[in-house]
Amino acid sequence: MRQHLNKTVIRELYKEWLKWSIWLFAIIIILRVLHWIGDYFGEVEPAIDHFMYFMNESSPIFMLVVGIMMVFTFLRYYTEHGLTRRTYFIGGAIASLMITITIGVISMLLPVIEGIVLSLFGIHYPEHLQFHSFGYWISYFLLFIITSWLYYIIGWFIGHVFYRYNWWKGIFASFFGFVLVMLENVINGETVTVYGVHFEGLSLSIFTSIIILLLLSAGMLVINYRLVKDIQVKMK
Amino acid sequence: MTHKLELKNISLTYGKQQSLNDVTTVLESGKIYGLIGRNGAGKTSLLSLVASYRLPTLGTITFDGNELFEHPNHMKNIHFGYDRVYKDEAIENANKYLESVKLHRPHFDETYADQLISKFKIDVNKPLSKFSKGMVAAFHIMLGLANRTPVTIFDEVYLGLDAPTREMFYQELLKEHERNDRMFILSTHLVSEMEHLFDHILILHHGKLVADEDFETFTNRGVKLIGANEIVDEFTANKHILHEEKLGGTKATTIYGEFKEEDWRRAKLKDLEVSPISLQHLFTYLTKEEA
Repeated sequence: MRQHLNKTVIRELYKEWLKWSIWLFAIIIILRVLHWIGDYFGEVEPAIDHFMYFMNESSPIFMLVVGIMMVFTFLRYYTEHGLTRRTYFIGGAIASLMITITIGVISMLLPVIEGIVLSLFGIHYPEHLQFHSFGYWISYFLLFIITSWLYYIIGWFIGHVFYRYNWWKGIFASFFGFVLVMLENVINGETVTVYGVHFEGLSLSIFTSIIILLLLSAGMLVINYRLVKDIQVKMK
Repeated sequence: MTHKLELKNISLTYGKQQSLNDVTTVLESGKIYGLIGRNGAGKTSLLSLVASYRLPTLGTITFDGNELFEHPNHMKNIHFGYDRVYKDEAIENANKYLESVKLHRPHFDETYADQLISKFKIDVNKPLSKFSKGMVAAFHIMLGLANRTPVTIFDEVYLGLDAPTREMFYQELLKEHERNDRMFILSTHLVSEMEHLFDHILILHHGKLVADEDFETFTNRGVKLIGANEIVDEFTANKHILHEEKLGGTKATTIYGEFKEEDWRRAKLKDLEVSPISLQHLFTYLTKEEA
C-alpha cells in the first residue's frame, strides 16, 4: 500500500479543495455579516450562534459535494497521468481529512477575527457565544472534523456508485447516504423527523459520538475502496 | 532499456457482446506498431486495457513480467492518448494541465514539450475546453511525445488534424523513434497514409487478432496475379484468395499467404503480371464482410 501513497497527489488535492473552500468561507462570511447586520438593527435579543456552529451546518454539506465531485473530476485525471486507483483512493482519503482539519482550524480562528472586527464597530461579542471551556471546544473541534469527513466519505460513496453502476443504483446509494446522514444526526444527539416519524437523538458523550462516527467512516472507506479498486475509468 | 508488454488470452465482454476474443501478442520497445481494424473491431477496447482503464474479462497483461493493472511503477510507463473531450475538468487551463503532467510523469521532457507546442502552434494559455478539435489533437500528440513514456499509445488522436499537420506529426514521430527506444502503438484506419510508419502490424477483426507480424513479412503475403484465366487459376489453386476480378479471358486474383521467390519466377515465366499489394488493400480484403 505504501507504494501507492503519493504525496504529490495529496498536496494537489488539498490545494485544489482549499481553493474550493474559499467559496465556502466567502459565502459563510457574507451570510454571517448579514446576520450581524440583522441582529444589530433588530429589536429582539441577538439570536446568532457561534461561528463554529454556523460552520458545522455548512462544512459537512460542502464536504459531501466535494466527495461526489472527486470521482467525476479526479478519477480519470489521475488514471491518465498513469496513477493507480489506490493512489487516487489513498490521496482522496488523506487530503479530505486534511481539508476538514483546515476548515475546522479556520472556523476556530475566524470567531477571534470576528470579535476584533465587531469591537471596532463598538459591538460586544455576546457572552453566550464564549462561555464554553477549552476542553469543550477541543471535543467539538474533533467532532466537527470527523462529521465533515464522514460526509465526504458518504459523498464519495454516492459518486462511486453513480460512476460504476447505472443511475438507479446511484439513486439507491443516495438513499443509503441519506440514511447515514440521519444516523449521524441521531448519534450527534439531534432528533430527526422523516414523514412524521421521529428518531430521537442519542444522549452520548462527545467522545462516544466521535468513536462511533470514526467506526462508521472506516466502514464506509472500506466500501469505497471495494467500489474503486477495479473500477472502469470512463473515456468520455 | 528494453521493455516487454505481453497480452495473454485477452477477452472482453460487454453484457452479451464480445468485444475482444482471446487476443495474445507480445510487444517490444523500439518498434512502432500499427493497430488496424475497422470501426468496432475492438481497437479502443484493447488499448484501454493496456492503459489499465479497465480489467479484461479474461486473460492477463504484463509489463516486464509484472501484472500491469494497478502497478504503481509500470502504469506510469504507459501513455494513452485518445480522442478525449476536455469538459468540466479539474484543471481547465492547458498551461496548468502541463504543470500537473510535470508533477506526475517521471519521463516528461519540458524542453521537448515547448518545442512541440511552438511547432504545432498550441495556445497553452487557453482553457482546454475552448480548444478546437485540431488543437485538442495537437495537444494530445504533444503530450504523448513529450511524456517520453516507454509505451505510448495514440488511438486515432490524429484524426482531428488537417493533412499537413498530420504529416508533421508523422515526421516528428519518426524522429522521436530514432532518438529514443520507445514503443509506439498507433491505432488507425488511415492505413495508406500511415503505413510507412509501421514496423509491425496488428489487425483486429471482430475482436480477434487476425494478423500479428512485422510489416515486411505481412505485406509480402499479399500478391496480385494478373493473366490468362487458366494460368491464374492454376497458380492460385491452393491459395487463400482474397479477391478476384474477371475481364473476358483475363483475371486478376489477389492471394494471401506465402509466395516464395520461386513462385515469382515461375509466374513471370508463364507471362503472369505479379505485384505486391498495399497494406491498405490487404487490410480491406482481410476484413471485408460478405454481402
